[in-house]
Amino acid sequence: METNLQELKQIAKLAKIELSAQEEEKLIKQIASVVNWVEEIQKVNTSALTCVPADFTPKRADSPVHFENDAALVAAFNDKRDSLLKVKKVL
Amino acid sequence: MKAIDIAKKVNSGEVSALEIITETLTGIKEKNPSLNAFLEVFEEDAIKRAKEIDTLPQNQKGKLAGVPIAIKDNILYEGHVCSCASKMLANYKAPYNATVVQKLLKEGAIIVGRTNMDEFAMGSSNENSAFGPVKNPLDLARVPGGSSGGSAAAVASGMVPVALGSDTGGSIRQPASFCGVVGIKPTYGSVSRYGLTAFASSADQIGPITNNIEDNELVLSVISGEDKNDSTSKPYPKNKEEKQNFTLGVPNDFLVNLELPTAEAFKQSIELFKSKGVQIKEVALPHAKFAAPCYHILTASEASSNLARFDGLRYGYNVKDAKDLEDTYLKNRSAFGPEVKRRIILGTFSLSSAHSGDFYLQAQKVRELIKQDFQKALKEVDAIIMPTTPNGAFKIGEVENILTLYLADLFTCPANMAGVPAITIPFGKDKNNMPLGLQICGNYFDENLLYKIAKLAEGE
Repeated sequence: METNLQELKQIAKLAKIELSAQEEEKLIKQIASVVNWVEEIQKVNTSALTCVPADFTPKRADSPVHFENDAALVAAFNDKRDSLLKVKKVL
Repeated sequence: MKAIDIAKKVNSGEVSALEIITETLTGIKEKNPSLNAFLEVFEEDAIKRAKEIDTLPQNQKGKLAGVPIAIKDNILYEGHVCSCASKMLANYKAPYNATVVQKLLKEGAIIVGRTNMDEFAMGSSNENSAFGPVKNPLDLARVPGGSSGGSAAAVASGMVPVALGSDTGGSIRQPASFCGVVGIKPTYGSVSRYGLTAFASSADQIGPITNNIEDNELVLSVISGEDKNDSTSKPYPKNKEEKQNFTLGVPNDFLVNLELPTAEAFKQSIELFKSKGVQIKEVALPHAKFAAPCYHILTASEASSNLARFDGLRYGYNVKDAKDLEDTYLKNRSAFGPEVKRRIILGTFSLSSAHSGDFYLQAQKVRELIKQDFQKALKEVDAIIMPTTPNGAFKIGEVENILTLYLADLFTCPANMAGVPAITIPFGKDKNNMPLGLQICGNYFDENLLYKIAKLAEGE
């Protein structure tokens, strides 16, 4: 399978990764070689499997847990006003 | 000195924890500059803790009293930097202790520092660290393996008797093999991942790297167990049968085209086991050859989701001159290195609506078949043996092709995809006189059996 430049740009945008033209040139070849290699798995006949096992990760109770050391979390904010996280304008 | 002996002597008062730590810190100062295995040494903290341990009553200082332990730089130790060897988290301080750290501290261990690694645990050579590569203590021109290369090098050089690593596709076993030490990837779920920076949550597992099997066993017994903070953790089943006679499986269908030194060493290990009365039987792992591509699809997919949290707002790398929020994300995430970007892109590709069926979902199904292969084979034999890696350690900068690097984990990925435990012990040498490893994979929660089998071949 070939990944084209337009597709790479779209994927990078979705992943919020900014790529330079040089990085794009290198990545497009590398991703293509990795994709060609991992495509091997499509040869495997998986028709006997009816579904992907869903029990791999058991679900925990959907209830909030208070984190004791919240002061350390706030201290790590790169920009803040009092104990609130300050971010750049959204629009 | 072995960890087990340090703990005994510190407990009995024959040696003080302070003496042990002073000697350890001197050794690190002497050896680390040429190895780059430690990113930071917690000198003051370690001395303070050693003094505290020395005030405790004799024989009540813990199973790991005074034992200096290094932790991979993706495991949280409260108040200390945990950077994942990334510019993204270069100054990030852990707000809490990982469960494994809590357990080590409770048993009197002393965390002496954080070890270098491939950025966010992505790599097999330690060349992907944002803070420079680690050197293999047995040949400074060669890589120590990865991603837990700093931990393996710290142990192999004798700087510490124990280091924790994490293993998602071989990141404990491959560096342990390259550096000639013992490393185990425990059963998925047997060691809590709480406080381990997530790379691929369905495969990540913490485990110890040590110079000998006895120490490895001791440390795993301390760090394992169910944890309410990790919903995938499980307790070890009780009343496991203690086996005395073993049958080991050899998956010949998977071990094709082995290079000569690796094939020769593996053959010798089979002969050694036979000479000790172990039965050898051929087993089939028909889907194991797909484990490495499966690993790359699934772990990249999970990484693209797990690493989405690193936006540089609440913590981490932050660029001040971004024009808006979108630009902030893009600029802050430029702190990721090339391998991390590559895997995030591959993961986003595998999960995209156009490709998820052929890649992510198919990989999940193939993973299930790999798991079934192991379950079937392990009904016939007690454990399965194979080389840990196709080759020994290569030179720094020698391998540029990313697929060649990815294939370094060819023999280690199957255990992660199946979730079974696997241990590596040094066995044999390659053509450059670098160590090779023998890998023993067992059934779920059969770590004790793996240790027993490994002891038969230890030091050979």
